Amino acid sequence: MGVVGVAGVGEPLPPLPQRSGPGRADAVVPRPAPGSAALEARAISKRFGGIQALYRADLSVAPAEVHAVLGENGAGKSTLVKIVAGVIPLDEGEIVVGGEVLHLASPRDSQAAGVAVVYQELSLIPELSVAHNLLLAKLPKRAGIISMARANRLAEEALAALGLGYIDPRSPVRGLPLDQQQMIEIAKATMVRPRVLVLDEATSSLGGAEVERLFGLVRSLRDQGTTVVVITHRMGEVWTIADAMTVLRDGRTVGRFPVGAVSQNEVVALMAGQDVRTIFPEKPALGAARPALELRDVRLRPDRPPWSLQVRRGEILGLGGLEGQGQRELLAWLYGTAKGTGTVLMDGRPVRVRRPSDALRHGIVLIPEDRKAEGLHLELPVRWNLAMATLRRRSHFGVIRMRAERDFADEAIRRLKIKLNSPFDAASTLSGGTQQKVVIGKFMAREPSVLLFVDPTRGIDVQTKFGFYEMVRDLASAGATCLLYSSDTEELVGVCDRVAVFCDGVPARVLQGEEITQDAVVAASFAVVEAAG
Amino acid sequence: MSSRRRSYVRPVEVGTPYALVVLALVGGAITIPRFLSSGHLDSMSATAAYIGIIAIGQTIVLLLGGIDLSIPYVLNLAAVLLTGLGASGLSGGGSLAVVLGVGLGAGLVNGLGVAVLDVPPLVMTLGMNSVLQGVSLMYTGGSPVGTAPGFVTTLSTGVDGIPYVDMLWAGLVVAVTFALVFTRFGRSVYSIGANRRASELCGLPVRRTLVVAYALSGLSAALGGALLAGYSGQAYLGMGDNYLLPSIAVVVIGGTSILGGKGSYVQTVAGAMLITIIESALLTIGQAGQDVLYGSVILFMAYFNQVTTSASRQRARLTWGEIKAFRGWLEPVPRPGESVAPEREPAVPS
Ligand SMILES: Nc1ncnc2c1ncn2[C@@H]1O[C@H](COP(=O)(O)OP(=O)(O)OP(=O)(O)O)[C@@H](O)[C@H]1O
Ligand SMILES: [Mg+2]
Repeated sequence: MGVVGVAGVGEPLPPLPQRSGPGRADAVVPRPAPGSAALEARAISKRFGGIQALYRADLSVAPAEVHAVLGENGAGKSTLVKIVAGVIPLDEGEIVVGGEVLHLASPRDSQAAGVAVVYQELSLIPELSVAHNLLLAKLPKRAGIISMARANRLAEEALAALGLGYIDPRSPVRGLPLDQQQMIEIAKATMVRPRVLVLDEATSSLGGAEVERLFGLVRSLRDQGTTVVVITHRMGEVWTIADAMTVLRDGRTVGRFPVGAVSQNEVVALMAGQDVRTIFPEKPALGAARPALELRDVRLRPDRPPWSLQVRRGEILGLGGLEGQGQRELLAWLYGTAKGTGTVLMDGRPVRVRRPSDALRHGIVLIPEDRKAEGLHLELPVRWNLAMATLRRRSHFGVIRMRAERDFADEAIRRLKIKLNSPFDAASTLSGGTQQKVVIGKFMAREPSVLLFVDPTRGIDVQTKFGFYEMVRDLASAGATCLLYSSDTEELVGVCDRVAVFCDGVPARVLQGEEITQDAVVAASFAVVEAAG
Repeated sequence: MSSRRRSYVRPVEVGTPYALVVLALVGGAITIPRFLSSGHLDSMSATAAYIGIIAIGQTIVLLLGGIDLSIPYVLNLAAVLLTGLGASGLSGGGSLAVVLGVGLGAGLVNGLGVAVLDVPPLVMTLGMNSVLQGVSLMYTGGSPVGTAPGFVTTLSTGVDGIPYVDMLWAGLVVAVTFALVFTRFGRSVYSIGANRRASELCGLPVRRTLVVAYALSGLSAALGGALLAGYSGQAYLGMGDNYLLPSIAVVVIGGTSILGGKGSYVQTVAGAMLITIIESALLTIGQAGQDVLYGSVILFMAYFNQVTTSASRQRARLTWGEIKAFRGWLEPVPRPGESVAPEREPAVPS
């Protein structure tokens, strides 16, 4: 593995191997003539302690272009974004917007230049209402007094423009699901009609329909002359929305192409520095495996009829459907963090789960989607984070065996290819996708028999994603039962043995075997909702 | 691994507080004659020991994101019980056992209220303080009787110039530090302080840890009360009042975050030393001056924590950069159509 790990960090980076394929010089688009680019980052370097996050990285985006920035977890994408936004200072290099070199001392400077950024980690203020969050600095006033009525109306309009009419601008942001929070962030950034819009993994928590709406907005902004930079780990999206792309690896720019010039596989290989297998693991025939998990007379929403479902040992059941149809609620209920009624049987025996510790005792784990609030202790060391769910296993009469903990954490860091400086780094210093790996590692260490995944690959790069799919399939083959909710339909289709399509808290249709195709899942998602009226 | 130790996170940070202790000692030695005489050092170290022991529980409770305001009257009740039970014929050992049990019990009730009934710690422990104030008054009828048992009084003396309380304190420092650093309980304390929800979701015994922490706080306050009764030979009502702010001040001066998740008892030890040194250097300022001192110190450290150590803690919600981004938002941004998005130059075909 050339890309990950800490090898080479701090030393001068070796020259890139000459690649055939996408690295060929003739495939590289000539840069727009100097001065004509809407946004240019020239030879940006940035170092955090022992980690060279960026090394003479270049980015050049033509006016009214949708430009994708690609790279593995920790490649430096978010760092570049934050530098462009003026959030963190650069060590070397310069940022040019509309032909002018910017002196970025704070985000205000980039905003003044017309740059709006949706950061990877959401930054809404949970206690405030949606309208407050959207308008914050520009709350409309009447006679010097803030007019919330007008603010709410303005917010409503902005939300409606994004097809988010169902969000009440008066409700507090706390408690809204992640995808809605993400859409609000996007609305906030686009409301100022920026000249350059930067979306750092803005689609990672969005489902298909929401992504479509976002892309519609991006296209119309582009047609009005806005330059858009998108960062994503979903390769399909690049080919859907982007005109050109820049690939980063280990903090350096390793390629710049128009979208038509390269294939997905070539780009993924360039990101990783090696060929990457992007084939979903084979789905074995499950045949007559016994039901390991049985749900009887379940009611997630009191006004809906009860339903039952069986999941076999070794099966990966996908939870599909439009967003907010009760998929997350089901998983949260099974983990003891949401209300619902019904009976849960594991291997035929009823189990009662009233809180997460009950679930964990029965061998059920839930990989949460909101890593900041639920998955991680951001300011505690990575090693502590990894060990958090399995402390008991490595302690003796309440005393933690430090050496065992160190060995365990080092092993997890190695196996999950967690890129860090030291295991004592605060989890907050890891890149977004790397943080997600820590969450996964922490829960996998419990060797669970039932796994509940809530959008587990959110923000994880392609190579790790496929590694993760293999791990999940291996766990299933070893007898684990998996329930997977994903906002990424491709993932549901590629990974799951069956897909339950949800509508208003009820799995209205279950697709299996050959039936599971991307089109069928999407069609069923809409069909069940329409059928329900 | 190249370049270790650069961006280490340190839930435990001992350098700064102890550097300040040394600085204060040097300052005192320069300005005050006989400041470093062994007699004065002994008396300062004993004073530090009392407040240090009382603050054991406060350290743990603050670390997990709570607060214990019941310390004054747990301490006071402990003191009046110790002398009073002796006067009604109970043996010294028996009285001490009862006193510690009562402290533990009061802390346990605090813990159950906070952990099980979800009463905010501020309210729970303040209520407890008031209840115990009433109980102390009822028990003594307004005038405490009796004297502290002989062996408790002996603890306030020393051998070879080393106060016994300092030896006791040293033992407790080792025990508490071990518990915080090497045990599951300690790890849970840090985790809950750093992110309670995430702690629940990965199965840490959140409620149990809360209960144990508040119980320990009651226990350490009661022990402090007993020791103070031994020091003055008797007990009086109101003797705990002057220990509430100091119990918090020594913790935050040591650099433990008032919001939890960061800090350690070793730092509180430095805080106790520091405040004792400053206080003894400013002996003339009197009680009023000391109140001002403690109050300001808490406010200053709370602010200091906010801008330094807890800048990283804030990442639970906002990264540092995002806070700056947020500040940017508060500044008036040019309205769309004015200067941000002027009529565009026609896109230059590339
Ligand atoms: N504040 C920080 N302190 C220390 N290291 C940091 C900090 N911010 C980023 N890094 C390091 O810089 C590198 C690049 O991080 P960055 O967040 O830019 O990655 P990324 O390309 O956005 O990855 P991802 O796809 O996972 O979001 C990582 O190794 C990360 O650990
Ligand atoms: Mg990132």
